[in-house]
Amino acid sequence: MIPGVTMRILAFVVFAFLLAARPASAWEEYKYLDQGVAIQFPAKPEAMKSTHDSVYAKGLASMIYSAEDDHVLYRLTVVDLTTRADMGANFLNEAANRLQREGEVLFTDFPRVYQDARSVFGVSLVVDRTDGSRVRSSLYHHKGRLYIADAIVLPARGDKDMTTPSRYDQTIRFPPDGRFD
Amino acid sequence: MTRKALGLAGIAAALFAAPAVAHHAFAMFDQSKVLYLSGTVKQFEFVNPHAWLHVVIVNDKGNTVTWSFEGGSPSQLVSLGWAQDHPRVGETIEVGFRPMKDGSRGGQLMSVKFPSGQKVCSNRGCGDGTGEIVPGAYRPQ
Repeated sequence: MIPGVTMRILAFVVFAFLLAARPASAWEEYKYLDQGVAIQFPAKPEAMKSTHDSVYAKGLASMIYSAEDDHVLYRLTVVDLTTRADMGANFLNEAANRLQREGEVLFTDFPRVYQDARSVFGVSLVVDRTDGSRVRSSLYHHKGRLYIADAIVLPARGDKDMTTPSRYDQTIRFPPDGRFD
Repeated sequence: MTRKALGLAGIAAALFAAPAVAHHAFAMFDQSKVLYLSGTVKQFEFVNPHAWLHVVIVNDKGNTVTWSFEGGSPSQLVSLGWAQDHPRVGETIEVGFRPMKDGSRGGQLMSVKFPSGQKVCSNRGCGDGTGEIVPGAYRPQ
């Protein structure tokens, strides 16, 4: 084979490998100590004040932290339930109930953060929404707050592979609990 | 030598100081089987709460695709013979994994076999009857 052609083929093969070998996003933990939570994002998240409506109360103060990467929206919602801490289980189940009604439930799980007596149990759902998105959501109630960690695969992504999105909610923890702190 | 030993001890201490915060019940992985894929290591994230191994694989259409596998915590992996640079980027390996039930390109990392024939488990055993629950005591069959 002509040396020049060989070099071009070799260069193309190397280029193709480098494209495929693009490093995965750099996941980094962000601590929100005032909200009692820490979670990893693949990109720097933005913070926004919001409100949460429930059948039990309207306009509950909440914070939303979100970042988008590869057409996946990663979003943590923290709802302040300190005045209604005894209703935590109902707020959590109500939010899960709303989510399951947004489309077809593909998967449920009951994850926990920490082990033994420190365990904080929650619920995870994967739902194919009627708007074409797929969401993996994990919900926890802990010390007077409702935490909802969503990874929303947007239709623009082209496929609904959940390998990377399923990583997000698993990184949640609740400082100052935990040996990281 | 002393400085190097102290450095290694520091790294080890940092790893073991990290929490073992398992989050899920592994229900999203098919626990009934272990599959195997060979490919080239793209990235090994030795991070808490779970390590992630990204491998470039050539599929049956000849296209390169990246698969990602979720392992144990760094402290658990160290006790099973893994290290931050083991496996290394560019290395050709065979990955044993429990696939995601929804067909996504990934799974629960169970083992890595190196070209030398060395095999390390990522969990309590490699899931295929090999390996040991006792840390670092893999027993070839």
